[in-house]
Amino acid sequence: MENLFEALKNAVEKYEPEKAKQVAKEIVNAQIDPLKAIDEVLVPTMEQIGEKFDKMEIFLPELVVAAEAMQAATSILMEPLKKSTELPKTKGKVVLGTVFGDVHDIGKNIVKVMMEVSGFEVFDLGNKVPSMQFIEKAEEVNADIIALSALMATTMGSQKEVLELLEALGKRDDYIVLIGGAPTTPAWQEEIGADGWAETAAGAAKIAAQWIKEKRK
Amino acid sequence: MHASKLLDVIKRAEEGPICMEKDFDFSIMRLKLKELIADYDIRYDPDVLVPSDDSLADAVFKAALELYLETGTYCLSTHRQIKFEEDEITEALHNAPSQITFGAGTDERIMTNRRIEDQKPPLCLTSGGCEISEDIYAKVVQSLAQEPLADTVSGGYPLKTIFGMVPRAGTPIEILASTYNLIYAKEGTKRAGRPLIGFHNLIGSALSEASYISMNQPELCVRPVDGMLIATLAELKTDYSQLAKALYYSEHNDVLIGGVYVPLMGGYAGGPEGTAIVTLAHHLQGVLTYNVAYSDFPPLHLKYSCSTAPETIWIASIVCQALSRNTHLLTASEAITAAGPCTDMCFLEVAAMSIAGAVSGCHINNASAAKSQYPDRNTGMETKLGCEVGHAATGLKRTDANDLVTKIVSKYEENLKNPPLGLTFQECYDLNTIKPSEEHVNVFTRVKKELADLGLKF
Repeated sequence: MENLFEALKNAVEKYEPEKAKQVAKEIVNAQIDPLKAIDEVLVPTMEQIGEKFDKMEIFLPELVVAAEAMQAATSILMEPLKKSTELPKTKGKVVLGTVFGDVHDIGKNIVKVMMEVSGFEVFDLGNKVPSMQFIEKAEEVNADIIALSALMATTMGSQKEVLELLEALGKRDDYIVLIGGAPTTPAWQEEIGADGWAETAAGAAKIAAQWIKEKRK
Repeated sequence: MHASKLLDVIKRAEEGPICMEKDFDFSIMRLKLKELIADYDIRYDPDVLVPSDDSLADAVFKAALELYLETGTYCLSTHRQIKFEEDEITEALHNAPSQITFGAGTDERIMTNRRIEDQKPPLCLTSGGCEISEDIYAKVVQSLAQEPLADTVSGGYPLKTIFGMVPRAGTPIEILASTYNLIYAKEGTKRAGRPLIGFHNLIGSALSEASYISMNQPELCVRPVDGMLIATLAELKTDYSQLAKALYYSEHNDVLIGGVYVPLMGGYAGGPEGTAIVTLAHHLQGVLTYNVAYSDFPPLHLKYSCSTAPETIWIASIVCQALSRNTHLLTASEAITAAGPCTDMCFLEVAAMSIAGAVSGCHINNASAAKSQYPDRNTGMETKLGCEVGHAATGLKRTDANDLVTKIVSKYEENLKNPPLGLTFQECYDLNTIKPSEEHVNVFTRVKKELADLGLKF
């Protein structure tokens, strides 16, 4: 078991999704507890990789490929669990996108990766997302969080619009609303009444986890 | 370039090779970048922020050319690559302007290409950046234009509100805000007594093609000696909206088209080496797909959201040198500072980027303060220092410039993570006289002396 766990860790650390899949299959075939592989290998390894990214010891391409390796392995490890009641719960569901009028999505894509590796199920709506679409998707998937990215001062007003729509529809308390992006600030968060603001992708994942913990108390 | 050439670009956007965006980012661009960095042995050295190695500059240029031949530009609207042959790239670089004119009368300024360690001072562009409140918009632009060394000004600040409404992109109010953005900016130059000074960036409130095109009306006095910046999208991407702007202004030929490139250090291009190659490739993209006459680039640090981190200063320097040695393109390095106005750190950041740009063969663009993130945090004093430093650094040897820049950066580097926010324009200037406060003048004077003590001769 230890050799396979080491091999799984190496595959993620060396950014090898195919190798990660292969080792995950071997773990399943050897009837090793898949939850143990997820909890003891994949989660801490991705946390370390996230920290390296945060310190800029690695960059976005490496982060994305490592996350792919983790997700590919997780998907295989989860297969045997689908028939049982042991299926691990996600931390929560997040509807994520770049707001209306804004084509920029690198920051949003990093947030997606960081949230996924933190255990959230993320529904990425892409960029230039009309405000109502965030709410429709959140309703459809029974989301916990709506996360709104804006890179331009001229588009951050759409973050406010999403909150106004939620308020007008009587759904404001149904969702945790997080905002981020280059021109946004804590003052803007306060002005528009969002629940959280993060300067970095790692920060967004941490704030999301804190809010979920609070919500489920 | 006539608009018909851009029609050919759009044709390629509709007929070029199809690929998924993710494949473009990772399988095509990233893999090629890794190969090029290794093949050309391109390495970032944190002790040398202004390199003196000509072969490194040439390697970055050759790598960027090879990269762009492989990737072309990815069109998000059609999911296709707009690709070019090497002779087409060479021809476009050859035909790009080596000289353009900003402004008129006594404020006419000729932008020509600069050489490394050039004895000719850089043009000092004055940067746009954060949102500005409607009631002080003209006054902020006045504070830039009244600086004697400012060669162009910018209307590149989005209006925070217009008639009490937030001008969100894609809404009718965006068009109104763009119009008033320009009206207020022109008012600012008149208030400074420089009504004919050139704009290198006319409007910051416009994002949509409709807003860009709505600027082109005689009563707004848009002239062929003003510029309109069109952005490439990170990394090496565009879309129909950007191409529409380029096509329209190429056809009408009544304003200079400039390119603005904001590559992300730490993003899809990876570290400093990959980002330098991609930054240069953005310049090729600007010439080939937008028909730009000049360009402006702040390489942005993914973590600190500024262009004045050590890695991004290195990128600016080596890209300026690579362009200067291998093309006659007209470009300016831009300082986006982490710290806000009226702080020692902000002035030091501006100084570091100005020296690097001026010595490396670029023009300089100062300064977007406080990451362009906080409203009303931009003033003419940071521009003033940037211009004075750019002139003082003119003619310096790269080794001497590197010595200065590394010393300056060491003074603020550890504060990049938590930079001081500084003050707003309203706190920094007397709003009646548009004179800087005593505090602001004191900080300016202190930092200038500090720079002089390091060996910069004003």
